[in-house]
Parts: sequence; structure tokens; C-alpha cells
Amino acid sequence: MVAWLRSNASCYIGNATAMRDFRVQLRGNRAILLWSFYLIVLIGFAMIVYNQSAAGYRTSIVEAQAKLRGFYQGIMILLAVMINLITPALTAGAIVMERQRRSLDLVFSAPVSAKYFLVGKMISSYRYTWMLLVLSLPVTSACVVLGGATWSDVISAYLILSFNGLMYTSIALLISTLAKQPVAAVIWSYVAAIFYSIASGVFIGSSFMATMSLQRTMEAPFIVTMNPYLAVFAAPSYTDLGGHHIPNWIFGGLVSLLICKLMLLGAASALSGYGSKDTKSLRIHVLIYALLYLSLIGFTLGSAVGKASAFVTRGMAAGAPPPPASWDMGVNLAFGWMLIPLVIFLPFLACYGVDVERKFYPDGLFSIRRMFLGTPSGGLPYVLTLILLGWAGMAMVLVHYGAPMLSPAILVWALAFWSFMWSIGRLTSSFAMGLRSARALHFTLMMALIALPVPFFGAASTFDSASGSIWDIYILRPLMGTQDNTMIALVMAAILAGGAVVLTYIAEFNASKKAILKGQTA
Amino acid sequence: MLEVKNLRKEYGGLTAVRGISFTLQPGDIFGFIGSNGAGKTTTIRMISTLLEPTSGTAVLNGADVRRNPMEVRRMIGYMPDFFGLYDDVKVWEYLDFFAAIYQVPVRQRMGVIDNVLELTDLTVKKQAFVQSLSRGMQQRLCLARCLVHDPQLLLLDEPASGLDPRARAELKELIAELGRMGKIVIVSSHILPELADFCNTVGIIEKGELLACGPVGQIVQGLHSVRILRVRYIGTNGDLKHFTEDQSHVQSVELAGDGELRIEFDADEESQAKLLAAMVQGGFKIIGFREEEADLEDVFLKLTTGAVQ
Repeated sequence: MVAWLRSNASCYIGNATAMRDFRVQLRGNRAILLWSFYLIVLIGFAMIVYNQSAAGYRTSIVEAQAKLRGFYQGIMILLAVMINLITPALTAGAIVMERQRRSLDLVFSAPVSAKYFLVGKMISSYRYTWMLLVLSLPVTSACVVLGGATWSDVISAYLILSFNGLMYTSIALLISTLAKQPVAAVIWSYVAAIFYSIASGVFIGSSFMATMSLQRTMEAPFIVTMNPYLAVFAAPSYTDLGGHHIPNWIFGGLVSLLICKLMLLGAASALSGYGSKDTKSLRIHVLIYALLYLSLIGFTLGSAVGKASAFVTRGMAAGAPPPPASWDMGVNLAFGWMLIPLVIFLPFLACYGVDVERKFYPDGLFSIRRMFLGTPSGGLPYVLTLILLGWAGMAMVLVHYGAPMLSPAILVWALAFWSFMWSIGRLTSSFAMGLRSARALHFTLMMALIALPVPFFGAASTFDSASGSIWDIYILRPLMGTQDNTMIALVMAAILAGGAVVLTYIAEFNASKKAILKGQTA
Repeated sequence: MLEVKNLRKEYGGLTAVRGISFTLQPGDIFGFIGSNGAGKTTTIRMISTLLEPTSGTAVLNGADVRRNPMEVRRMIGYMPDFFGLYDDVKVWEYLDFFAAIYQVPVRQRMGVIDNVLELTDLTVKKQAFVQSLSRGMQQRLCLARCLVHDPQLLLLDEPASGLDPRARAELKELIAELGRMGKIVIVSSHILPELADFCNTVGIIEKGELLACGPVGQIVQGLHSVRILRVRYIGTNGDLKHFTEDQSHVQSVELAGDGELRIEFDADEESQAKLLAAMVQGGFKIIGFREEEADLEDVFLKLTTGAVQ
């Protein structure tokens, strides 16, 4: 225990990597010039916003208060933009530059764990972001002095911005670990940061809608803290837990730390290669997170439906009243939101090929034993376990609340759907075009199947779950609508499972023809 | 002591290293010879724990590279065939960083840095930025980096590539000095004269297979059943040639272009002494009698085919 604490403490206190980067960061007058420029821009912006919103007019106290509030919101949005813009730039080069100058081997031939190194890099990048936040404090303090916000609001908003900064840093660090070139790392880090900002905004919006419709409440769910642009609104919000008002930034902070851990584990796994403890740890963490995520959704849905006590388990009693539309919408949303991370990360699980030194060589189709090793044969069993576990977690919580049981047809469909998506990855890999190209093509094909039909189908007909339309052939049809999709889900599952078998067969045939499976091109 | 036991590395169906085994003692300087792509770097990377062996292992002073990689890393210094230097970092800061990650106590670090800088003759460059050093100095700095934690085993991958003759000579002397300090040094190279001077043991690798391993002389002897003797004397070459041809164990005699006799001799050193005595007793004025040095290049060319994987 003492040794564990000591080893963990050494990661965070006096980390050699952070210390070396610190020396470089503060060398010369570069840092001072950057900070001065940053402060000038910030103060200039604050003055413009203040002049436009709050200064120089004789107004009523209420109106002045509203304008000052606007000033405070403007400053906080500027800080969110700053985090969004500066964090990826500061972090994206962290690992890829080390790889380019080929110093990673030197570091990892020393008794250094990937965790130690990544935490050091994280501290280096995040310290800079945090320093910029601290430098902006005098400007935001003006909001308190002028009356636009309270100290409590400002501190809570800063904490939320800090947690978001931490998440952006960890995402950029993961991308930096995966990227080959610094320019690509910077571009992808920005893409990821913008994508995260938009996706988290949409996720928060849809969760807000679901909460409103299910629980008849206007309370913001705690995930509102997961977007820096909403920091002003998230700062005073709280969650009612057992009669206690818990500030949402606490939950937001916990989730940020968990996401940060996941990103760091991903980066450590990429640095350590196959079979490392980090890969195993990453995969176990993802399983736990999926379980927690869907259980939490189950908790939200179940507690809402449980409170109403109006429904019986679907399928248990014939002629039982159907669950409300909002319940179906909640379940669909939960599974729908799982799509995004899975579509992004499935190419890493399914594809194989040559990757500089570490070879993601094909080692079979399906091996439960290698599920946590990170080799391609463990990909499919891992994805299927992830879905089964998530579904089981959600179902158990729903059963606990006496809420409508999830239809097993949706589970069958999900298993078939992801098997089909996995088989596309095997097919793209079998063309022996290289690992990165195989992954890119896999991702593109998945996106094409999911996103491309939407505008065409939308133009052809309006979706109506009660009557048949061209939407019935859409690959995500079982997740749409508020009706019982059992039949559609089962039919589509059969088609997708058949498709998966055919594609896998073609992939294996193609690979054996190109001698990939024999490793002759490895 | 380093024991490499049946070390093997496979990538899919490709076998990069095929069950290599050898043992080295403290003070040994082991020259690892092979063409590009023969498996030298893969072997070194496995010993340095950067690459996990498919099977087999290497044990350094009781620590196994597979079971106890962190323990092994504490005892090794790895110098790859590239510098991997950081920009905007001073020489002492660079060494301080590596001393820190090798867990050298803070109080001892400055002393250690001064010592390794002195050993590598870089003391005057302590405050210089690493990017301002010449290639030879950067190479020595990399070696200094490997020494900050006083390792038992040094793994030097192509250490002299790209260096000018003077820097190369200085590096050779430095490596020989490390051997005298009792460290095990593994030096990989495909430039044979580079190794022949200071390695007491060599291993020849091709297509991932260790074709020969042991002291240089022993390998040469194993390959050549005859020794080559060179004799210089005052007088007429023809007389001595005829005289020598009649002696026992002499396979053939020929006049070398440089005025020496080149004798192929198939017996041990005792018989060589008898041959010399016979020449002197025969009235020939011998002024030079020596066995030709083992030619590593010749051995390498005979053993290998030049095939790569």
C-alpha cells in the first residue's frame, strides 16, 4: 500500500517529464510574450463587451444587473473558446514530437511506466492551460465587483472550465499518441475538440429534453457541466440526491476525471502495445464505464417510470399498456449515444495490418481468451461483451424499478449490427492496404451506412413509426420511433448477421489469397 | 552476467529472430555483427525490454526481461542508432532528466552528471544546448546518458555510424574503457573493422539466426583449419621457400607481394615454435615471424550469404 502510494505520488509530484517540459516552456521570453498577448486580448475583449453591454447608460437596477450578467456570460464564453482553441494546440505535439525525434525508446528503456510519462505530459500541458485561466481571474473578478456574478458562481464556473480543460487535454494527448505527424495531431485534436463541444452540447440538450419529458422537471442534469460553453449555466446548478443539494460541478469533475483516465489509458495502451497491463486495464475500464453509463440511463428512466407506477413489464402481461413514448425515446437515445464512441473506436478493435514496428497481425477471428490483449481476434468478443454487459446493466436497473423490460429483440439487433460493422473492418483489412488506411476506410464505410441514407430517406418520405416507409430499410431503424420495434429489429438482425457472415468469409478468402493470414507481408 | 536463452521474435508469420542464445560475463565487449535486417536491432530491443520476445528470454544478473522488465531496465543503458535529443535543453538538463527517470537520488545527481561528463570528455559543454553540439559530441552525450545510473549492461546499436575517424577512435577508446570498468557491452554494427579492434567476443547473425558466437580468434580458428604464418627474413626468398615446404604441417608456401613468405600451417603454436627454430637452425636470418591476425571480415563473408528477411 505504501509502495503503491509512493509510486503514484511520484507520478504527480516531481515528475521528471513535467519538470523538463517546464524548463523548456519557461525558457527565454516566449512564455512572457504569449501571456502578455493573451492578457491584452482578454482585457480588450472585456472592455468591448463591457462597453456594449453594461457601461455608460443610465438604466434601472434590474436592467443594469441583466447587462452585467451578459458581460459575465461573455467573458466566460471567451474563456471557453480559449480552452477550446489553446488546449489542443498546447497538447497535440506532446507525444508525437517525442516520437518524431525518436526519444520515446530512450524514455521507455528506463524504468518508466507509460502512466508516469503520460501524467508528466499531461501536467506540462494542463499547467499551461490552467495558468491561462488563472491569469484571466482579474478580468472575471471585475464581474463580481460590478455585480454580474457572485464569487460562488465564478469559482464554480472556473472549476467547470478547469475540468473541461482537463478533458480536452487528455483527448489531445490520446490523439498525439496515435498520430504520426505533428500537423496531423494538431488538426485531429482540433477536430476532436470541436466534435466534442458539439456532441456534448447535443447530448446535453437531448438528455435535458428526455429528463424534462420523463421527470417533468426543468432541472439541468449534471452532464450540463461537460460542455465549457455552458459553464455559466452549469455553475449554479445542483442535483437533488437523497434530499441533499449536491453542486453539479462535483459530478462533472468526477466524470471528467473518469474520461481523462480513459483517455490516458488509451494513450498508455497505444504506447505499450499488445498484451500490456494498460491495454487490459483500458478494456476493463471501458466495460465498467459502459455498464455504469447504461445503468445510469436505466436509473433515470426507471426512477421516472417507477415513480409513475403506471406500467407493467412489457411482454410479461398480454395486453398490458405500452410504456410512454418518452420512455422508448430514452432507451433509443441511450443506445443511439453509444453509437458514436463505438463507431470511432471499432476500427481500432477490428482492423489489422502493419503499423511501423508493432504489427496488428491477424491472429484469428474470434478468441475470448485474447479479449483483453488487444489483438484483432479479441475484437469481436470484446464488442459483444460490451453490448451484453451494457444491456444487462440497464435491464437490471429497470427491473429493480419495476419499469418496462427492455425488448430482447433490440439486444439481438445490437449484437448483429456490431458484428456486421466488425466484419466491414475485417474486409477493409483484407485488402492489405495498411493499417491506417484500413481503419480510415472502415470508419468511412460505417459512417456511410449510418449517415448517408438519412438525407435521401428524409427527402423521400417522412418517418412515421406507425406506418411503413423507406425508413424501414434504414440500418438504425430499430432505434427509431416510439412503437414496439421487435419484428423490425429481429428481421434486420437476421439480415445483418447474414451480411456479417458473408463479409467475414470474403475477408478471410481475400486475406488468404494475399497471404496476409500467413503473415508473409507482415 | 547476461544469459540470452533461445530468444525468438515473430511478427505474424515472419520470424525476425530465431532462438538466439549466448552468455556474457562482466567485462565482455560483445560485437554483434550482421547485415542490415539480420535481426541485430530486434535482439537488442528485446534485451532492452522495448520489445517482448515471442519465446525465450534474457536474464541479466538474475532479472528476467519478461518477468521483471523494470528491474532489467535499472541495470541497462540503451543507446539506439539515433540520438533522440531534445531541443532547447542544456547538456546538464538532458542528463538530469535521465538521471531523474532512472531514479538517481536528487542529492547525487549533480555529482553523477559531472562524473559522466568527465568520462565522456564533455565537461566544458555542460551548459551548452544539446542542438549546438557536433555529431561526435552528441554521440558521446548519448553514451553519457546511458551511464548516469551506472548500468551493468550497455546496449549500443550502431554507435559509430556517421562519425568522423577521430570521433570514431575516441568512441572506441571509451567503449574499451567501459569494458575495463567491468561492464558488459554489446555493440552492434555491420562495419567490421569497427568491432574487430576492441571486441573480445563476437556473434554473427543472419536472417535472425546466430551463425557463430565466441571469442574472435576461436571463431576464425573454427572456420579455418589452417593458420596463416608470415615470415620475413634477410636473404633470398627462394631458399627459405624450398626449405619451408619440406617441413611438417606446412600445407603450402607462397611469396607474398610485400616480400614476406605466406605459409599455410595446420598445427598448434608449439609446432609453430618448432618451425621457427628449424628455420633459425637452418641458417636463415629471420627478422619477423607472426601469425596473421584473425580477419573478421573474411569470417563474416564466409559464414553469411547476404540474405535478409
